[in-house]
Amino acid sequence: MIDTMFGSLFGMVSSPQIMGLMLVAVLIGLMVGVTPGIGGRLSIALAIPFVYGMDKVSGAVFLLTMHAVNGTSGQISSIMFGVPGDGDDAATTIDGHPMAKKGEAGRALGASITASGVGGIIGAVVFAIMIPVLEPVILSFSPAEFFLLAILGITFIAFLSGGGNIFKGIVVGLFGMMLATVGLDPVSGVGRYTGEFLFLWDGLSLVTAVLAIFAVPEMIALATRGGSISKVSMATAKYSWRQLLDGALEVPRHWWLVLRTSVIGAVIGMIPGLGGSAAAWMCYGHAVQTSKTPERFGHGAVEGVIAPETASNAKEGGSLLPTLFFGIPGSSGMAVLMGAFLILGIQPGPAMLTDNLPLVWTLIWALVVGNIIAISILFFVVRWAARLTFVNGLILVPFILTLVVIGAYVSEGQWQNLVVLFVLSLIGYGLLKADWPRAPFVIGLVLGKVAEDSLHKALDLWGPGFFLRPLSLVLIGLIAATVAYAVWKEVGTARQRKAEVA
Amino acid sequence: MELRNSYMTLVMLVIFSVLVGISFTWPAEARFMPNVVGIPAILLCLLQLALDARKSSAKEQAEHSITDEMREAEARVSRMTGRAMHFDVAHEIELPEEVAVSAAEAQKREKLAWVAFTAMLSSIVIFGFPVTVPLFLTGFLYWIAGLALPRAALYAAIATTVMLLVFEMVLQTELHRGILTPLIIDWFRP
Repeated sequence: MIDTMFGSLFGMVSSPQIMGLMLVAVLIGLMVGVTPGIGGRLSIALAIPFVYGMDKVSGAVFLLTMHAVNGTSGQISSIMFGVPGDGDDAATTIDGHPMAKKGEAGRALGASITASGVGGIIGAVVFAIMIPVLEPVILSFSPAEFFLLAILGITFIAFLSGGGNIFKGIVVGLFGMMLATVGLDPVSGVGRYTGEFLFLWDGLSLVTAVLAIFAVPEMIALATRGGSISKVSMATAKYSWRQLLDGALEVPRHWWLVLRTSVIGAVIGMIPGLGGSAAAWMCYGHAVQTSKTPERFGHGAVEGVIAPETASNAKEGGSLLPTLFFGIPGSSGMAVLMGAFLILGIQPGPAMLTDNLPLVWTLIWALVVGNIIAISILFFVVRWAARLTFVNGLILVPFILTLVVIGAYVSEGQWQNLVVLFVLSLIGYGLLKADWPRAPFVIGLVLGKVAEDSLHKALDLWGPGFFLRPLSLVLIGLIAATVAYAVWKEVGTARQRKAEVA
Repeated sequence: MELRNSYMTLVMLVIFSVLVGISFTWPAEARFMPNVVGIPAILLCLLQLALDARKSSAKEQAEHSITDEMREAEARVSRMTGRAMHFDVAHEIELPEEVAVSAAEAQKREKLAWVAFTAMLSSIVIFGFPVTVPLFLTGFLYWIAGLALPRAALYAAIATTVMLLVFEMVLQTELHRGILTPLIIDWFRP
């Protein structure tokens, strides 16, 4: 184990190609994090065409690094201008922006950049520690459990992204699973939903489907509403290098809080679907509860910046665990990343522990080294990076749409994929306009084939009673409990709304 | 009934019904998974339609601003910690606003964006990437993003050059040349 662990680190840092790719990935990830209108999962989807032709280690390290550092720069606009880039950054805004208003922008930025980087590193360490602990559990899973895990993954993400309506999320997840059946049936060899089109025999292009459901609707929506222009001028965000350094030193000063929130974040990341904003808010609440002076929170307490930042980046390490070992993406960003891994020839599942452990360690080290590079770069460029917040989103739209179309074409080298892109984009835009969640779609699409394969194997091994195995019953219980809780919560909200109207 | 949501539910219901219907033309083992997935999805869509029908048609679909979200967060953290929290960002700080776009203007932009996207896809299929990309970028930046024509053309030229360099030279990936363009080039070739 120790040999594999340090052999992977040595292999990574001694390869100029991988280190060069990591540097590029960090720079792109940081830029994307600051630029309005491009989310983390979108950036991964857009980067997929560029990893074609790379070997699986280089490609996986490139994409994971880009994904891991994305959130590190996202908080710049939250702190300086009070505009959270996404849900993860909203908790940082609460104390970060008041700090900037008090003339402590540098201190808030120094603390958040360092906390985010340290959180990412501790998250990777937690993941590494969990490998020997979870190894027997992971290896004890049979095809029956893998089928149920796929359903559980969709249920979790449907519950969390459904906006109070789990059924919509499940329907979208099932739609992804349905599209995963397109192609030749693995059992009978019959073409399913392929019509006369040969390009569909190998199944629907994952990259095309993801770009159509996520990227195109986002870009059309951005073009429709136009760019957002900050009313706050850059002058508000003046600070000195000393302030930045002072902020960075706040992290070791609050080491116990950093450690606790990183571990909480990593553990939350391991639960499929819970995601970064839950980790950030939970750790913000934890920081308030454990503070001797909770009244400072909400008005510019540095702990209110440190806690959510460590948690939201630590969850990346945690969410890699279900993604790699169970094939259940921890978040929609991880789902896109998992899709990219499949394209690179990396098959997530228990075999990662037995056949691909060096790659797993390389990915863990990529999280650690990527975060160190990100902190180092961001300290020097944060002043200029903030200017990206002022980029008019409308100008980005045609460039991103072009990249999307290239990505859809390059994924299989078939122009027919552009027709698929158009049709699925219409559905994706419909989902966006109707406020339906889209994250379960990716999970369903990615897990569809695994679920079908596992279901066939489970039926062959144990027959229709496969779900009566003890571990399967636990998973079924979890699925039922999630749906029941979601329904109970929705009924409660509806009653409350009714009472308010009355 | 929430029309916008029900419309999407109906679309999903039709999609699943058609897909499940098609699957019945296949042998049992081939249609197994589509049925395992599709039939529960149809039932859930029907349930969702019933839920939509129960909801009041007068329900407001209010747009949430960042300040509203911060107020909600304030209430959530107060519940979580058991103490009354007060976030400055939710009350005192004037947050940046998005440039206001009227409903008519938004509708026009939406149509334009879809027309531009559809035209780009069609043109790529017929004429290929090297011809379409510079024209699409220039057109979008000029007509929709409102840049001056020389600036739009300059950005488009730079982006097209980078695209061809990265994909054709570095990644050795040939981008689609279109169905008509090679024929036209052959026709002109002596």
